[in-house]
Amino acid sequence: MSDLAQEIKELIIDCLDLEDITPDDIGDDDPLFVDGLGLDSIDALELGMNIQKKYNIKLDANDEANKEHFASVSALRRFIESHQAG
Amino acid sequence: MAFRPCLVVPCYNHSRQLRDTLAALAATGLPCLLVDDGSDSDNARALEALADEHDWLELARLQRNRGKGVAVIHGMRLAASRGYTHALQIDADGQHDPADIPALLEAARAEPEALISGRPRYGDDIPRARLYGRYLTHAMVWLQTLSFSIKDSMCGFRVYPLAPTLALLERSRVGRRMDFDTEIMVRLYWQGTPVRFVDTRVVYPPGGVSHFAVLADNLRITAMHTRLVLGMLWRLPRLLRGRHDVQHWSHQPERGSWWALWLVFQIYRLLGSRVIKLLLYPMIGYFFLTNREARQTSRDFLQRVHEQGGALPRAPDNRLVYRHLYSFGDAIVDRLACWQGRLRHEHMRFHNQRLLLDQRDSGQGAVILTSHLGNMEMTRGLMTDIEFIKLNALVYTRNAAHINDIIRRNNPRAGSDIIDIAHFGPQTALVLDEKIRRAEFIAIAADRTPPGQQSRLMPARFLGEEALFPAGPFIVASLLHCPVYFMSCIKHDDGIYDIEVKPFAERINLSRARREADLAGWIQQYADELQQLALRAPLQWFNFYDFWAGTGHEEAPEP
Repeated sequence: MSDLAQEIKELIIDCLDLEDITPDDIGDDDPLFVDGLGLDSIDALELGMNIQKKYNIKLDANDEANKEHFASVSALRRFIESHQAG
Repeated sequence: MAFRPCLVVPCYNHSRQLRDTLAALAATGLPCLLVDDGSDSDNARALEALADEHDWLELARLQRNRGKGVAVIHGMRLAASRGYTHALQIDADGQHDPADIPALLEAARAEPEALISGRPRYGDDIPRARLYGRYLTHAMVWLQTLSFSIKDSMCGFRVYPLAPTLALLERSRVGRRMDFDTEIMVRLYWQGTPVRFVDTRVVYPPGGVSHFAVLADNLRITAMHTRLVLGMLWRLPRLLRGRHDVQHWSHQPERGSWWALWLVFQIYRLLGSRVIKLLLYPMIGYFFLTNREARQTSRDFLQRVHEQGGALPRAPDNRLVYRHLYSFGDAIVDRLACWQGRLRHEHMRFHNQRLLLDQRDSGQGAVILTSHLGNMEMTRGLMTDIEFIKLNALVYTRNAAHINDIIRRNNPRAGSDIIDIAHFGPQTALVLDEKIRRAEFIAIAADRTPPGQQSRLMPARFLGEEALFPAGPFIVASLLHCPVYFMSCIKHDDGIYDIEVKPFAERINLSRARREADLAGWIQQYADELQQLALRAPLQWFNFYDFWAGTGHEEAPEP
């Protein structure tokens, strides 16, 4: 497991106050929303804000691709990496 | 456009003063057409002698006195036939300062299609009555052109572009005497000729002969203004479409159908609020008669307030509904005035502003929940003045940029921003977060439900029945992890706005386990605050739609 994925999981738990959950409980490819971790749209905003802040990325509200970027921890990792590479 | 100017000087029995003026005109090096407007024989001979003396001076004589306008037009036609493109008109009696000629010519050269006019800076020697007369004329011209771009319409010290001016004279009848200067300028403006001004000094030489015959000329000027006002009404749609270079906020795409209000506002600017509020009576009367929906929703709302024991003088009837609509119109006028920066401290009482100042000093901003009850817009101008409280308003509008623009243009110090949240996302949240951390405030009206399906609505009890409220403002507040206030701005009977602010929540936390219930709780708390206000000031409820019907109405009209 990459360090970045671990970092993302900690960020998720931290900013969303997910008590009783440890990074190990979140699978890299588990869906974050609805099923899986069961996050909702408010969580999505909160998470989006924190990801932007921490990794200095801009997220366009109208971008349909956001859904895919935030689908799972590995999707988020790929998204962040692609921005950091550029 | 080519630029070949000449001087045109109309002259009626002013040969003595002209002698001095000519010395100054010679310095310009320009050829001059002197039009003798039927002077008496002594003066006529004197003018002929002057023309013989100066080879750059050409004299044309009208056999009998026809009026200044005719003389100027004659001179302009002559100038055009001699191949000149521009005519600089200057009076013969010495009241225009020839030293300003180069400045006028320079302006004309820079913009050859424009009419360049001197704008008088009077010396202390102007007769009082004449000054007041001029002011009235200014007011009329402002009304006729629906614009303040004509700053002075009576000064006869001008550079005319000959082609458009002569084309206009072919088509329209223009007053030929003292009414000429004003009328030709207004008509040129209507035609689309830009009008530019150059400051100039005007003197009334002691002992000078002015041919301003008080009664006859005032009648002529009155007739002219009547013609022009009728012409303005005829051209109203085009003037408002802004084909002209008018710098005014109403010349923006969203001005749309409320031009009538804008006209009212112009009158307000000229005549003050008392007159305008009188004019509002028939206008709102018309609105009352033609707008069934507003009438019904008003009556329904007032009925609910009445049943809940609100501050109504009697059971809702037509008169009360009319008063309700009137207060809406009144709020619009106040809002326009506020945008203009005309309403300030003395029109507002800001209660417990200390709360916001302390909040600001803590280094963290806050969310301020507002509503469409009362006139929150009024706080905008005020916030600028009060020790730099920066208030950002969140609205669902695609016109946010435009509105900001309008406000800035009218009041460059306006310290607030309108932020569009029609597409709210993480990026918007981050922008707001940034503002909160800079100790700014974010105002959100939480009473209207936003347009579109995807927004989250939740029911809360309001005036005896459940109505749907937007969850968005409370979610935003929870994301920002900052204190929340409730704020209102209600017009008191004495005409002064009472701005009140009170703490709403230290934080809005939406716990993961009971998110829906938490949201519902906060929304009900807001609905309760709103109900208290509604009972206190029911006539300032400006949601003119069925509030309990549960459909999106963010785009309903507001003052």
